[in-house]
Amino acid sequence: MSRTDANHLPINRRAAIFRALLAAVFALPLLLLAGSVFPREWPAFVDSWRVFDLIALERFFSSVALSAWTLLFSLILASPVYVVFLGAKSSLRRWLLLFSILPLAHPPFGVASGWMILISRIEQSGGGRLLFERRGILSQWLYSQPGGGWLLALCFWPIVFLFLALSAQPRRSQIDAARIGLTRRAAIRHVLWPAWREPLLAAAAVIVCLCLLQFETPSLLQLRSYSLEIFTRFSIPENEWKALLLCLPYGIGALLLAWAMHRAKRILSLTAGDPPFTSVPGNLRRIAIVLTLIVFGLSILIPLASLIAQTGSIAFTLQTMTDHAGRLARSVFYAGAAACIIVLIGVVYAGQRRAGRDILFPALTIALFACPGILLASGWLRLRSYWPGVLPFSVMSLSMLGAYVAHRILLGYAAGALLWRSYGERAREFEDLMEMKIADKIRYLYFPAFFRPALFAVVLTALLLWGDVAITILLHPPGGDTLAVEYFNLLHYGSEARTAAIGFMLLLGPSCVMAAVFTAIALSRKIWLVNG
Amino acid sequence: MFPSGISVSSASFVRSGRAVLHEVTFDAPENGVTVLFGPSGAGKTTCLRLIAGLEHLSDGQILFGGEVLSSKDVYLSPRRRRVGYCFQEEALWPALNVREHLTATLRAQYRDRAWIDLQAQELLDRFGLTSLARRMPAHLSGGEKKRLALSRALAANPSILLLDEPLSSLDGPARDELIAYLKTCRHEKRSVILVTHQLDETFALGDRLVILVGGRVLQQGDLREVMRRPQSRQAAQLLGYRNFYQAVVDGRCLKTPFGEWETTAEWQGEVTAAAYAQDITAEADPRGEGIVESCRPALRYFRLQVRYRRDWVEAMSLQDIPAGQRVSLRDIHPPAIFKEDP
Repeated sequence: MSRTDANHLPINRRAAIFRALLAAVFALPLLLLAGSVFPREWPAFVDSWRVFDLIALERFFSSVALSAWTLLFSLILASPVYVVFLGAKSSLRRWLLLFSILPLAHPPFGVASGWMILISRIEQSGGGRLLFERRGILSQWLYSQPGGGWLLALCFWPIVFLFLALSAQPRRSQIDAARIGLTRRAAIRHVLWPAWREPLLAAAAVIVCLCLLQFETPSLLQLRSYSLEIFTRFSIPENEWKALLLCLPYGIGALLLAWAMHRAKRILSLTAGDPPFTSVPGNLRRIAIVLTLIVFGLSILIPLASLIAQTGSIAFTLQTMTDHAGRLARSVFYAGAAACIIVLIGVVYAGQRRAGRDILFPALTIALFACPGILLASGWLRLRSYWPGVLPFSVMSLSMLGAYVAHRILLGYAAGALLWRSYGERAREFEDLMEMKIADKIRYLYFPAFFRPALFAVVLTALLLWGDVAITILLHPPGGDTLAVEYFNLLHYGSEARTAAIGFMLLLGPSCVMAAVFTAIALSRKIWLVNG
Repeated sequence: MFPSGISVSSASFVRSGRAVLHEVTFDAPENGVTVLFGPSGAGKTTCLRLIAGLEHLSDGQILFGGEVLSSKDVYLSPRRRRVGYCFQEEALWPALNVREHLTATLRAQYRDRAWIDLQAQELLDRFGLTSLARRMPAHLSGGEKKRLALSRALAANPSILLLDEPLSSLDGPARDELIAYLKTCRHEKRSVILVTHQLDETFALGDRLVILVGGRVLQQGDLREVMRRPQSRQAAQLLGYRNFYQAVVDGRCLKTPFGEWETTAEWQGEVTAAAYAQDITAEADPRGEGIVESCRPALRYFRLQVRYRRDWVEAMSLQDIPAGQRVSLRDIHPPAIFKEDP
C-alpha cells in the first residue's frame, strides 16, 4: 500500500470527523439541557407527563388554528404576485423574486405593531364604525386568530410565492400540451395543478413550522399560543423539564420541515429565465399587477408608515435613532457575524465529498430550525454555566452567536448545497485531476465562484436573524441587548412614540439593506439569481 | 499488452451492490485513439472514471506504462495520474472566463506566470478561442464549450486523455470543427480513450475499438478489423449491420443467397452472414424473389425494405422502386461472417 496516495481516502475520513464534530457541537447544548433537567426520581418522571394537560392542548390547537389562518392568507396574498410572475418577462421575474424577500426579512412583531397602530387610528377616527356600523370590530378582529394569521401572513406570503416561482412553472411542453386541445379547466386540472401541488405543500410545511415557533406576535396580540406557553414555563426553573417535554410536538414540525426540504431539493430550480406563461389573460394580469402593488404596500409600506406616523416627528425619530445607535450596531454585528458563520459552515459542510449522503447533520439542522428559540437559548445557557472558562462560549456574546448559528444553520446548509450544486460535481472532479493546492483552489476557483452568491446568502441570513427575540432575550450580555429585544420590551411597557421610532428602525434596517442589494445588482448585474 | 499505454486488466466495479463492470480487459496504446463503444449503460463512462481514479476498482488492475494506477491494493490519486478528462457535460467553472480556465489549470503545475500566459495563449490560438478569451461559460455556444473543455483537458499536458462523448449535443458544423481539433490530438504522444455510442465519431477518430455491452467486453481490436469481422450478431448489430442471413462456407467459397465470394474463413458449413444495407443492391426485376415493402430516399439513392423469401432485407437502389414491385438482390461486397452459438 506504500504507493497509495495518502490524499484521497483519508479526505473522506477527515470529512466524516468534521461532520461528526459539527453535529456534536450543535447537539451538545440540547443534550446538556436535557441531562440537567431530567427528573432524578421515577415518580417525578411519570408525573411530568401530566404536562400535556387540557391547557397545553388548548394552546397547541390555538397555535394550529393560527397557522391555518396564516396559511390561508399567505395563499391569498401570494396568488396575484405569482400570476404577475407567470406572465412577466425574465428581468421582471428576477426583480419580483428579490423584492418578495423583503417582507420575509421584516420581523413579524414589527409588522404586527405597525398594523395595530393603524387599526387603532382607524378606530379612533370612527372609520371602523363607518365601515362596519359598529365600533371596535376591526380591533376585535385583529386581536383574534384570523387577525393574527393575517399579520403573520403579511410576512410569510413570500414563502408560498418563492416555492411556486422557483419550482412550479409550467414548462414549455406542458403549455404546448395545454394548447393542443385541453380546455382551460382541464389544463388547470391535469397540467397546472400537478405542478403546483408539491411546492404548495412544501411551502405550507415551512409556514406551519414558523407559525408554531412564533411567540412574539401572539404575545403582542394577547393570543394563546403553544410557544408562548413553553416560553412562560421555561421562565420557572423547576418547570424546565416539563417545558422541555412540551417541545416534543415540535418534532412534528421538524418532520414537516424535513419533508418540505426533501420536496424542495427535488423540485426547486431557478426558473426565472423561462419564457412568460402566455396563457395568463390580459385582464387577469392587469388586475394581478394592481393587487401585487397592494400586497407589497400592505406588507411593507403600511407598517413603516404607521410607525413613522406614531413617532410624531422626524426629529424625534432621528433623535431616538441616535440614542439607540449602539443597539443598532450590536444588532447588525450579531446578525452579520452569525450569518457569516452560518454560511461559512454551510458552504464548507456542503463542499465535503459525500455530504449529500450524510443524514445526521441535515436531520440535526432541521430539528434545530424547528426547535423553539427559548429551548436552544436554555441549552447554550447551560453550556455557558457548566463549563465557565473552559470553552470560549463562556463569553456571553459568543454563546449567543452559537445559539443563533445553531437555530439557523439550516439556512447555511441550504445555501451551501445550492452553491455547490450550481458549481457542479464534474467541475470538482476535474479539480481532483489537477495538482492544485487547496489554498490555490480557494483563491482561483472557489472565491470567484462563491464570493457574490455567498455574500448574498449572508445578507439574507442576517436579515432573518435581525428580528430574533427568543434567543437574544435570554443570552444577551448585560447592557448588550439588540433593537429587536428593546422593541419587544418597550411594546409591553414603553412610551408609544419611542416604541414606534425603534419599531421603525427595526423595519427600516432590512429595507435599507435590500435597497443596497438592489442597487448593487442593478449596477453589476452579476449577483447570483439575477444572471441565473 | 502495450507497455507504453494503458492496460486495463480484469477490471471489475461494483456500485451499490450492482456489478457495473465484469472483468473488463483492454489495452489503449500510447499513439492513436482507442474507442470505447457501446450502448448507453454499458459501463463506458465508468471505465473512464476508473482510469482517471474518480472511482475505486473492485477487482483487477489498471496500468499505465507498466506502472500500476489502480488495483485492489494500490490506488494512485487522480492528481498523480496526469490525466486530462473532457467530461460529457463539459464541467466548466461558472465564474471563470475562457482564459482563466486555462490559466487556473496551468497554475496547478507551473509557477512562472509568463510561461503560464504563453501556454494559455497557445492553447487559445490552437483551439480558436482567442476571440472568446474574456467570455464566461454561460455565454459560449455548445461547440465553444466543448472546445474549451478540450483545451483545458490538454492544458496540463496530460499523458492520458479521456474523452467522454465529446461530440454529443453538437450540430453538424460544430461536430466537424471539433473533430478537426480532436484529430490534432491523435498524433501526440499520449494515450487517448474516446467514449461514444455514435458510429460516425468512431470512424472519424478511432484507431482501436473496444465494444462494451452490459459491463463486459464483447469484442476488441483494430478498428478496421473489428468493423470487417464482427464476431457475434450483437457486435454486428451495434456496428450497424442491418442484414443477417444464413450462408454456407464450402472450401474457400462463401455461398450467400445473393452471390458467391472467395473466403479465407476457418469455418466450414453453415455460418451467419451480416451485411450493411449499402452492401446489397436491388434492381427492378419481374422475376426477382424480393418484394419491395417500402422505399425511402437516402441521400443520392433509395433505401428499400424488401421481403425476401421469409426474411426482411434492407437494400439500396439507384431507382425509386414502388412498394409491391418485384426486385432481384445482389451483394456487391462480401458479407461479414461468424458462427453463432446454437
